Amino acid sequence: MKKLLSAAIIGFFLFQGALLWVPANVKAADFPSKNLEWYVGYSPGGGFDTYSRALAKYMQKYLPKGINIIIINRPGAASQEAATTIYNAEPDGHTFGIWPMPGLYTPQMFFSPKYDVKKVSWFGTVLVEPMVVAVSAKSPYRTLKDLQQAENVRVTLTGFSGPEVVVPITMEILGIKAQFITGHKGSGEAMLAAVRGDGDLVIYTYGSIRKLLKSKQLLPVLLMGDKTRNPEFPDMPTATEAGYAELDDTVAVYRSIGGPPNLPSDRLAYLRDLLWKTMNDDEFKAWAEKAKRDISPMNGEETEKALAKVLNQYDKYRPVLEKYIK
Amino acid sequence: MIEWGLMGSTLMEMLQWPGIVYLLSGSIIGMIFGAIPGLSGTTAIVVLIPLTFGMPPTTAMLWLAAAYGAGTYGGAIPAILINTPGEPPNAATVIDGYPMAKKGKAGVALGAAATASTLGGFIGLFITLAMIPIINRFLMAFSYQEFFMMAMLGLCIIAVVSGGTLLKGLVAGGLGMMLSFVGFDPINSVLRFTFGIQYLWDGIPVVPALFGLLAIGEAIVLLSRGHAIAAEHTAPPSRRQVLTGIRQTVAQWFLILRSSALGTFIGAVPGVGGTVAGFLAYMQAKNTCRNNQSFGKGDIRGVIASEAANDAKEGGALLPTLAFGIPGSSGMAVLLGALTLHGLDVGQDIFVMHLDIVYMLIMAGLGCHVVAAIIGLSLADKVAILTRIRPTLVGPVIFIVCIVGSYALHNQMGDVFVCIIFGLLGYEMRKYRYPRIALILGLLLGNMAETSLRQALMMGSAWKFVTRPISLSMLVLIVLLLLIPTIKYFRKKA
Amino acid sequence: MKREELVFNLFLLAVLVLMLVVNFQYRPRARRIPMMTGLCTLGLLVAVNARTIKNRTRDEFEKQSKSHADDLDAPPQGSNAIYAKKEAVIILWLIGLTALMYLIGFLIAIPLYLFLFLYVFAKETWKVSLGMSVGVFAVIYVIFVKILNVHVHEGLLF
Repeated sequence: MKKLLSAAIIGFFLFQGALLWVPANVKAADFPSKNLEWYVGYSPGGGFDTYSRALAKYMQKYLPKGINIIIINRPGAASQEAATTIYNAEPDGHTFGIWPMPGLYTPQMFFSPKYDVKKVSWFGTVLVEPMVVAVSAKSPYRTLKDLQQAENVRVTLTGFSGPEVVVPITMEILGIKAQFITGHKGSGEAMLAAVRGDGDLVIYTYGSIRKLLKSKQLLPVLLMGDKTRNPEFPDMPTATEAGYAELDDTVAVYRSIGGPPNLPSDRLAYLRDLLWKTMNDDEFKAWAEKAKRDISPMNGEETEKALAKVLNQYDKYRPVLEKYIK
Repeated sequence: MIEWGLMGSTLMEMLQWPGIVYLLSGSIIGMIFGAIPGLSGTTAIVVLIPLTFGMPPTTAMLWLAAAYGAGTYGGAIPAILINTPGEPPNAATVIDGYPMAKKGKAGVALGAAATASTLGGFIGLFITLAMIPIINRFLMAFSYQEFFMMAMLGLCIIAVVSGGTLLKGLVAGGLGMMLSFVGFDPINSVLRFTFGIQYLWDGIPVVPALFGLLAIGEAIVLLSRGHAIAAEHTAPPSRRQVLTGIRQTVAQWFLILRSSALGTFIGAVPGVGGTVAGFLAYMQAKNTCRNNQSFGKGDIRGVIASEAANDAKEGGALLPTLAFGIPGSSGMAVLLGALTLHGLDVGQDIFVMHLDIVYMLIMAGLGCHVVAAIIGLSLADKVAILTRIRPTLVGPVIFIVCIVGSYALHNQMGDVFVCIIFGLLGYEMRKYRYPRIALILGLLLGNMAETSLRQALMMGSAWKFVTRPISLSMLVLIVLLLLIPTIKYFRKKA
Repeated sequence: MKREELVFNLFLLAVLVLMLVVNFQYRPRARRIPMMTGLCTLGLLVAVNARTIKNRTRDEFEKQSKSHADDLDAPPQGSNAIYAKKEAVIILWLIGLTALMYLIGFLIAIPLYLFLFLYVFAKETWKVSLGMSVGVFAVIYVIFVKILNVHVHEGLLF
């Protein structure tokens, strides 16, 4: 009995040691050699999370057997927590995540977060989402002209971080005198406030606002970030058509996937290829169709170029943002 | 209106093979997740979603809704046994549930919680069904003024739970409110009270703080005083206790009705936060029941009100989720994601295009409560034995469960530190009789009160607080709640 | 007893004052409500302190405790002075657990701590200590690591 006990104790501690020792010792010659970690900066259920999980699911078949993709939700500070984690992870290609751009650039402009979006290794983008300027059905405004002539347009939003940082820039470019009502807990609440009549105008991604547009509780005014009109709302003009081509270049939400800087070039190429194959996978496309989630895949290089252009625009409009953020 | 034929066939689908398997397994998984502090019904859905990929949507929704619904009941178990709410909404159950356990009545409390949860869940879902046609008008009636009043109502509960130590209760509440201001000021995006620590940018996380204050503080007490949770000369838990719990709960059917209605309405308004539901129901119970001096000392009605409201609120939360795609609670947000993942579009159409899914969600919600109740009640007396185990075994396990639970939330060590710090704070508060629930309420509601107040003032004049009917009635309620005990107090002195 | 309570009250006071001072540097709109809340709480805390100092006799306090003995927040039975040492020891163990977890990671710290605590502090037997450590560890491992894929903190030293 005593012998059994000692054996158990020794075995137990050996087991402990083995758990910690083994993974560290695997030679990193093959890639990937362990599970991939995909970080999402939001709680489960949201848009970024949904796209990530779907991509992860269909990516499995392109990965070697035994290698899984694990989605890790790390909400915090509007995705900055996740960004920091990804950026500072070991650049061996096993850690990456989805980045809401250019929302994550704003903290970089004004504070000093522990990441630099200009140095992220971009694998690609699954969706470049246009944004819609919409008015509440309860407001007196219907067209862009109405808004531009108004004395005070109430805009509801959550705050000036994340994708909503685009709101003051848009108001500036369009020449609308806006009063911002911040403090809503999420995009849902902000849109609901507008539907209620507590706000006149909201600006959100097409995907988020679609349901309320269809139920006509919010009415579309302008489409930004897409050069062609949306088939579901053919009467909504694009920014370029309305004479504000600059908006189309500045405003859009990029759901881009990227990893830490300085990834070895062969691994970067592998991951870019992996993502590209997944985004063009028939099953993935079928899912997107069924789930009514738009996709507009861009590969790694295209992503780099597009983002650089957008970030330039933001630098240009820094003074506008400074009024609201510091 | 209600398509009975479809309702019936949905019920059949749930009860036949393979539906019944999913109902049972979902409920059990949900209960276990709810009962483990740090996990919740929401976590259960997150884990189950990847496994639902191949399934037909109705089956998937059955499984997920069953797990989610059972989770809210599961959370009552540790709340009663070890002073730790399994999920934040169960926090109000702690107020009377744990004192009952200390008196050796854990079995009764568990029985009551199971019964109240089930009945509350049922009533909540029925009210939800009835509200579907008026959902639009209902949601439009709640604006910033109403949110502020609701937060204020919630803060009034501080006075209610503080009993004889009102001053200390107010201090604790005020402290909680100050702590809730840590992080980004929601209106100006100004960082407050973070002292340069990025971790604090999102504020002090409520769940680890809750664990620390209630559970760890309690564990330290148990270990230092050397006695088990249940006081020494109390009877061991028994089947009879559980049956007593059920009986007493059913006798309080009107209380359950009131509490569930309250819970459903609160759940239906997005932005309020369901955690308040339990507390508001508790306060409502204390103020409307006779002989309420025993509230806070182990009155079963406190447990009944809180648990009924808790489960009812999820029924309410379904409304804005399905009607607008705006989740009524964080759990609903995940459910929404699941619906999307299965290609189901929410919005007004869902009631037309996918009525079968809606009905399945409701059926599953009802079914899981029945399953959870049956399982919960049969195991209640066995589980209650926990309260008799010596503290040296229970104490360290509580420490570890809380720490791991706190970490599991967001994979951050910071949450663990918060848990420990609040644990020490909770213990000290216990020693000097500062009501911990008051601090929790302040922490939960301070931010919301500030935000809605500022938003309301940004939007219009302060008169709106009294000209809007719902806001006005809540204001009157608050005044009454504060005035009546004060008058009574001065009358007594005279 | 009374002295300890005053120390705790002073601690709360210090925290509040600190927050109020820091609050001053924020923009006017952002600091208004925290300021009002903070000042009110401060005032109340001072009142509490005054009360505590006034309650000269310990009996007064005991009497209050008796009537609220069943509360959730009833102070633990027995005089605090007797338990002070044990209390300190337990708190040290708790802090030790945290430090252990931080330094060597959850997976080793949990069973190790449980074993040490049960065997050394609680003076349980070999078998019970080992059984509990392995048992609890196994449950946590299965639930949190295997099923939930929680990325367990690996500790600084390993």
